[in-house]
Amino acid sequence: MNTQRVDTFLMINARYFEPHHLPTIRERMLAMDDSTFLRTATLNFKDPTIMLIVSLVAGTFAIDRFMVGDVGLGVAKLLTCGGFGIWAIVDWFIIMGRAREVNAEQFFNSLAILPSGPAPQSAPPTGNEPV
Amino acid sequence: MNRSKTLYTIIAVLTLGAYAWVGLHLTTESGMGPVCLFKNVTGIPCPSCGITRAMILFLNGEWQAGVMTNPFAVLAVVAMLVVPAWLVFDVLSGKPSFLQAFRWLEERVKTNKLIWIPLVVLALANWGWNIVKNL
Repeated sequence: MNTQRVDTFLMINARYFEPHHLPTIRERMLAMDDSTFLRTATLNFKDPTIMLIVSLVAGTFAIDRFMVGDVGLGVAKLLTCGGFGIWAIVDWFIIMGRAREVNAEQFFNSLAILPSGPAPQSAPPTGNEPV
Repeated sequence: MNRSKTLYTIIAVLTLGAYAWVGLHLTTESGMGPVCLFKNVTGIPCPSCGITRAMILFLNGEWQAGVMTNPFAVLAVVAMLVVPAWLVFDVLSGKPSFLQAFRWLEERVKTNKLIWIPLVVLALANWGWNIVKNL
């Protein structure tokens, strides 16, 4: 992948990831072909700032945990009324990091599912593929 | 391994906290009073307000009154009875069976609209009921 496009992507989307994820993400994106790059670049990442706002407003209902996809912990947090009020406050500080963590997981998971590298394209056409 | 340890610790602390919380309310007249951030700020009860009161009603044998106070308490009681036993079993046997069940359930709920939409509707209905009852 073109270095300039990858760097533009990273400049726009750096806030969605932890700083220590960025070098790996850059490396993986540079190794991608065009269509894989498009699909990963258009993934729906969770905005850490929105998560912080949700956590401040509805943290005792565990809406923040449900939104980042921690359903099980969300139920536990909801039933204990925000972890007896303590967890709700703790989450104000860690939910942004958790959202970035989940985004990185989503990014790397999408790579595991998507066909990696240009191998399928370089295979010669056999003439009897499904149309 | 690290992540699963964190999960086990969080769940264990929450369960112990729940037992300590109910115990505190049993031994003293009013416990520590309402700690719910949302209720303290807005004056409106949150979806899980009243679970402690419902549990104390359960312990006094008043099942119906407990369920009418907050049906979530049934879920909380089941969790408080099942989860500690399961955690102890996992620690003793060294198998991550609780973690696997937890992940499986999480995945099912997240990916199946037929499961999570009714659950959300039920939780919201219960919250509405809490507000109407003014717990």
